[in-house]
Amino acid sequence: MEGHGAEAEGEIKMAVLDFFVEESLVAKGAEAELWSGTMLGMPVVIKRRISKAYRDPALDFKLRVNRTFEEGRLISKAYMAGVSVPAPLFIDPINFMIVEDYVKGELLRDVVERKGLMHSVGVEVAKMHGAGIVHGDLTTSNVLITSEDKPVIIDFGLGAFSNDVEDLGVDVLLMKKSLEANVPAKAGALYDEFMKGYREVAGAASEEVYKRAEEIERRGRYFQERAID
Amino acid sequence: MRYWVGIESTAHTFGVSIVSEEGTILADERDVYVPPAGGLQPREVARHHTNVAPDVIKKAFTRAGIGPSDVTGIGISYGPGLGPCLRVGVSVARALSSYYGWRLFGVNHTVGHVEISRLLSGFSDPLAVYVSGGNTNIVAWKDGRYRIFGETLDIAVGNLLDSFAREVGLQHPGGPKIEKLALEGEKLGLIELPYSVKGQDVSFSGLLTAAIKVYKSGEKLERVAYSLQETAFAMLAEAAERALVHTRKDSVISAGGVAANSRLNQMLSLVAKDHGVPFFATPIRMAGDNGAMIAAVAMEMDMGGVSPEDPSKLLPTPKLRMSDTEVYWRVTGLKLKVK
Repeated sequence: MEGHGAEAEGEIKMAVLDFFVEESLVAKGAEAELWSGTMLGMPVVIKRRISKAYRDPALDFKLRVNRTFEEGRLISKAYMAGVSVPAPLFIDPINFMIVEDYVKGELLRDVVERKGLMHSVGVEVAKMHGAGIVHGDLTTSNVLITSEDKPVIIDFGLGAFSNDVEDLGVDVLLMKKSLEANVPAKAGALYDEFMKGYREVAGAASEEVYKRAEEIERRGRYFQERAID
Repeated sequence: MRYWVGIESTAHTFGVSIVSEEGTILADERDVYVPPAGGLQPREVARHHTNVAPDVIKKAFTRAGIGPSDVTGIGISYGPGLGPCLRVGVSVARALSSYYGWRLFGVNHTVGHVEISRLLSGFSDPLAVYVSGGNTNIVAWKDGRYRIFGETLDIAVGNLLDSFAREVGLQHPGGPKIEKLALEGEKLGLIELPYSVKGQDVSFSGLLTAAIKVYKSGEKLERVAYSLQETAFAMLAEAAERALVHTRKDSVISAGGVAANSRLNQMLSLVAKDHGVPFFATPIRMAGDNGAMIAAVAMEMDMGGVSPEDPSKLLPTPKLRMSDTEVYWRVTGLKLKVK
């Protein structure tokens, strides 16, 4: 695969058309397009990182390749560790593309108050952390809920391999803030439920993560208020 | 015709403005403290504000062509900000309010920034990227408040630019100087610097340390300025884009002092364009701290049925978060004009 950038991207897409069939654009996220289609007849989701005109081309290329590569590694590791994620099927960083098993479900953000859901989300997040993976964008928009009420964590685009309590704390805080932004009145109870599930898997380690999340939240506030405007 | 006065004194700017009920900014006077060297010393700034206050107020009334008896209410930016500076503005506003019987409204400074930009844009419900020396918040209105959907996990983007500027010997404020240097540095190419987006949040402290280190190792200042600005703003644009997708708002605005930077506005306009929504860049004069944003919010609060404060009870509040303040009174369908 010689050459990078827009031309090469177009050529490669042509070359793999027989292998993949992209049927329709499912969603346009902030950094990627999600296509539904088939791979050798199997229903799949194809995630393609799109170029951003707003940023420096060198930065744009680097971010897209690195994130596709990293995301491929993360989702593979999570899958093998038994975390509920879509099965990774084909990873192609130079073409900014990941092909995953198609998961049918609703967004957590739309059903977040359903009984017991946040508890199972907490369980899956703790399993993911136990596998040495942080998500980096753990919001209610990045968890799918299947018809059996099973959470599936998606989009590892900002994830990382880490056991650092600071990174684990950021994940937990992102979920908390996402709940606060979406269901302000019930966020507290839902977050408690989430932490209960998390604790069941993570055990004693969960206390440190919980405390660190609170500390990071405070730090964000104090820093901006201490600074000179 | 009803009129509202606004006083701003949270940091380096002492500003006084008068806004009419039809949405015209009749006067927007200000005196900005510039430190002789280094950063802001709160007590020095407060002394400056005390000295200039009478003059700035008089100028505003002369410019607007109205007298004290024409005024309905007064807004004061009571926080967040530097304590000594806030005290000057709050004391002045309390005195004017009790003496003339003007209705007094305490205005959250951060809400003022977002509201002046929104009212000038004419958009009813945008995603706002509020960036200044002390704040980096990506906010959207939800359930009667501006909720923070993204923010800095450490230092503000303006603080990043100012700190870097100070470190390399540029005078405060550093933002405009870095913007100029960056234009010259673009052709030299981007140096890889730490890029840290966590969900809809950003982190700048690693970027600051790395940029200073690269400069001290002998790299040209123009090139470091370009790389620093480009990396920091790309992070903001990405966080804003994620927040835009998440909140599904139908427009985007920039607000706050750093919104005076045209490269940042260019990036945000491209983000908005990609999602088929309009973008409004706050005019430079209204991006930095000003009295008009406080007068405009006081007018909105008064029109929206907020009860006026007791002049003897309103206190400066140095620590105040955007989401601490209820904004149920937000006026839509009014497009603010500058006379």
